[in-house]
Amino acid sequence: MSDIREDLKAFVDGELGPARASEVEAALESNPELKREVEFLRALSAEIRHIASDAEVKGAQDALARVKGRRRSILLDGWILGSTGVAAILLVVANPLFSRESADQSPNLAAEYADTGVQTKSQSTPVVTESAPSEPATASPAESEGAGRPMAPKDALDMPAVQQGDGFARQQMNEQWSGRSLQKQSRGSDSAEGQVASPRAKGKDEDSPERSARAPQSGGLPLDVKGDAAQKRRVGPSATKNAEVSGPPASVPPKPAQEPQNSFYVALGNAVSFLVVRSPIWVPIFLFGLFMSWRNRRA
Amino acid sequence: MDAQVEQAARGNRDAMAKIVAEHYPAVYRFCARRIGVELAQDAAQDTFVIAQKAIRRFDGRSKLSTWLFGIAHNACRNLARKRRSEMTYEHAWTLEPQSANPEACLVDREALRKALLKLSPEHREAVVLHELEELTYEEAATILGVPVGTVKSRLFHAFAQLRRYLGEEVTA
Repeated sequence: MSDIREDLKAFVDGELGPARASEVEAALESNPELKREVEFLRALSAEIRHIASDAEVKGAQDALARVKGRRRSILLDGWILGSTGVAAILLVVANPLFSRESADQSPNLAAEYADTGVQTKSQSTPVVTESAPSEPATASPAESEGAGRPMAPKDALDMPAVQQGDGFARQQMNEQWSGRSLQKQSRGSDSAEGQVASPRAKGKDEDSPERSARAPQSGGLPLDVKGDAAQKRRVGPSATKNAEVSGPPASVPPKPAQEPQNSFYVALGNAVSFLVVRSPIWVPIFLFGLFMSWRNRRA
Repeated sequence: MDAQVEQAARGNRDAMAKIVAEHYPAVYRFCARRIGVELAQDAAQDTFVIAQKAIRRFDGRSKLSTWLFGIAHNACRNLARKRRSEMTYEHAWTLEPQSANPEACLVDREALRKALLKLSPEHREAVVLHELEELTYEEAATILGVPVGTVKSRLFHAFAQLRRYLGEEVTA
């Protein structure tokens, strides 16, 4: 009997199998008490459903709008934000490598000028110093000769052609050039007109136009040195005007406080190159983000 | 599987919108009975947003409404957890005035409502799913994640307790 009672609710709900349902039906026929219990269960179920809350439905339109999808700004798409984050991580990872590379690239132009023993106004301005990485050998000899400085165009022609980005070669060039300039400085301090005192350099100065013509073929810098007028055209009148001989080269003390200035230019070069050189990283990532956004919206 | 569901699974937003229009009232009431009308709107909308993302995984073994109720059940539970509350099902039954003909009712409805609130949450949950949402034992078991026998047992004990509570009310 107890087993039958436990199955009465399932019998009312129609959840019993056919065999068990037949057994319960037979028990109900023979037992009026079980029959009254079944009637009570049915009435109780009906009352429970009757008092069920039937709340007014709200928010159906909002649900439809959410499912249909509002037109989001493509820049707010998750893929754009995600790809931007990836790009930022890539840049952060690439930054130390690039900083080292950029430090190799940055020229020690101020030291070069100090080595020549001539101090010019333009040396202390960032304009000349910034232009140094692209063509240091072009500007330095031209300025020095235009202002009567002890620097021969030959020295510039002897310097190897260095591409920007070849840090090691550039470092070697700077060392060679600085050492040679110091030698000339010590000899040329006795020169009356501030010309190059080295006999080798002096002798070769005479055929400098010829060497200038040969320079591009022989690997030297493509400097077209034909005289003061040409130098002034190349450098410009302002540079010539700014370049002044501050005194005998031997008496000019070296400038020890160049390091902060150099580090500033290293940082500046880093920042500029960061934006310009590394910016192509963003392009494929951004395009990938746009593609995924388009694909999502299409879906 | 329903053609509408297949289209929605392919990303057809119009087909999904039709599913929402058809099932939103039932899902909303399902949520309202669990966590109240204040939160039911959020829970119901979350349900369909989740369903839209997951409809590709709907294999058609159960009815779509059962599948949606399962999502709604979890959405209500998560929402209640965020509000540091529980699914009490206190909102499942309203306090209606007694009908004009009290003799027509076998059970005092106010007493029944009190008796329902005395049930344990598990028993109340089974009663709501089967009696109010009109789910089969198997569907209720799927939503609750329990065996069918457990649902059957919970319903038997729930009705036995209701009968006892109502008998106490009558004798009191």
